[in-house]
Amino acid sequence: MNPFDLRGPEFLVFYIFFSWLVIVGLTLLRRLSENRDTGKPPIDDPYFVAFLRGGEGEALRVATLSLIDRGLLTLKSSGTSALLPGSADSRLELVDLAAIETVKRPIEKRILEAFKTAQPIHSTLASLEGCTACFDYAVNLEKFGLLPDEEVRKARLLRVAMAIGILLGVAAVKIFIALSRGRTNILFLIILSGLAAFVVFRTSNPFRTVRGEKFLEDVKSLFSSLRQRASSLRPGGATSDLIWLASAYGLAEVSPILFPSVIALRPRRPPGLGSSGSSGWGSGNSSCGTSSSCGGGGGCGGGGGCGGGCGGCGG
Amino acid sequence: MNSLTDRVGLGWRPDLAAGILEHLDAIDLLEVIADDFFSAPRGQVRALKTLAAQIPVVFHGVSLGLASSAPVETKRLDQMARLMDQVRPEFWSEHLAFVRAGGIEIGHLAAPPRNSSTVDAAAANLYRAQTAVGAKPLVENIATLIDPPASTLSESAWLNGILSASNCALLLDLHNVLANGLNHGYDPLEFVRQVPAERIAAIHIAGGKFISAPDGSERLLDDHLHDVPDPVFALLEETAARAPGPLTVILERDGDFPAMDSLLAQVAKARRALAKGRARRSQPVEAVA
Repeated sequence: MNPFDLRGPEFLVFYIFFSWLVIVGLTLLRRLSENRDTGKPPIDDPYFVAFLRGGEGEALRVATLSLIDRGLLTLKSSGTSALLPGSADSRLELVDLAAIETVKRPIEKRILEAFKTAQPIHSTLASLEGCTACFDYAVNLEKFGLLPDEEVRKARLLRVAMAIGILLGVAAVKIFIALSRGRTNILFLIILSGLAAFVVFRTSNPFRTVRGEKFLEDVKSLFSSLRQRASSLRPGGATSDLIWLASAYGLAEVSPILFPSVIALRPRRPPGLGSSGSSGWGSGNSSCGTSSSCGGGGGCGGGGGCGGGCGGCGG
Repeated sequence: MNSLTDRVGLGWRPDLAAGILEHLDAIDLLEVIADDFFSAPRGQVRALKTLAAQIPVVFHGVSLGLASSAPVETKRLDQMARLMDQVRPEFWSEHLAFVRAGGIEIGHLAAPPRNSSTVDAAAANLYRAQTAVGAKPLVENIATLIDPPASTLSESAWLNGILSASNCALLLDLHNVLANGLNHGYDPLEFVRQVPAERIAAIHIAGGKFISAPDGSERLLDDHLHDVPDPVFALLEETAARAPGPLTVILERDGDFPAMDSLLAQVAKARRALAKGRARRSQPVEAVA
């Protein structure tokens, strides 16, 4: 049976099934190609995990929360407004200049430097995106195959272009046949083919690779006990439980009663949307990593710098 | 020159995950309770494999009941074998205890009567375990608050009998040695000297607390909820002075977790005890710093 001989409604049903097959095939191809063993990624740095889960913005927020909890940064504002997400009053300031030399991780050092004087939280953290410390995380995540590198992104692009080509091609052939037979009721097929192409586009380029997804699930599994104990964690930086909880599961899992500052740090948009590691072409923060936009790790000077540049990655 | 490398690690407990993974440079290996993963979803086993990629992992069993007079359950051996095959730990170990009888789960590691028939039964179970799993387990001495009735052998003679009959290596739990020695009136140091040193491959160290017995006397309970006491470190030094092979020492802590720094301090203390013991040996040795 030639599917192009099907009548309009029947062909639409066939086209929906065909689109589903294309999407499934695309997903399977991605799973096969992105599950290569590319070394053993470490689980000794919570910001590495936070970056993998939510992008560089999330890594910066988790690091900031840790610095506040350890008493190295303090919220500067009057009343409770500083704790409102996105509040204009939400400012942070370094408690002691000497702390910059005591922290061991570059991302923490970079954040402390940015808040030497009281600065608004969200805009300052946004300006740090693409800095050298974040770039290093992106490079490592790509090196271990947890985030898509240039090669993977190209392969994804090629596959999605082929899939969309096939979907639109089949629709075009049917439209051509319909028009040649004097039928003009092709609107539904045009809408359906556009919709199928959009779904393929949206689902074929997730922030993480398949290997990255599995690694993140593994880390969450290892720290599952933390989530159960979230309401009994001790503030004050006595343990690293808070930082791992936030890294593996997100700031939303951190109790605002025990850690009130987390409210001021929560993103205006949930991680996974927009600039913080979303699906869709070029939107992942990882693309700020080894692609050219950020200048190969040149870093950000003094809180300005690369943030805007990384916007070119699609953020 | 005979060079050997001793290692000191921790028992993996999910509550300690953050502290452990942040201090992998201070820990040589982890001991994982294998039974926790016998019925675990695939994702949890994969997470365990990811953990094993970070640091050497060994398995510890708690539910096989190898010293039972009844044959060890095939289902549990199969589960252990499957998990071993998936994660590939360096070795596995299990207690010389019975944990069920007559279809009833005791929920506790119980000491069987120490006599020749339980030596034979344990040896038979160890043979079954080796055959099913594909590797001999290290066998561990357990703590018991009561002297098992119907015993005709001393604990050391019973232990030596099983080691000899099964040709297995020993996981010597030093807090169990201390507790049994104090509770049953023998010298723990002498017990360590009676154990065949060449069989000792691994060591457990842990803490406990004294509880009152019905007769008003004090008994040491091996609860794994307290810091390792000094006498255990003294036993560790003695063991290191006697054992010719490399030793794997595991600090067990099951709850009431202290700050990670406290656990790492005990790990460091164990290293020092090992080094002191090794220094007493005539052969040159190399201990992990």
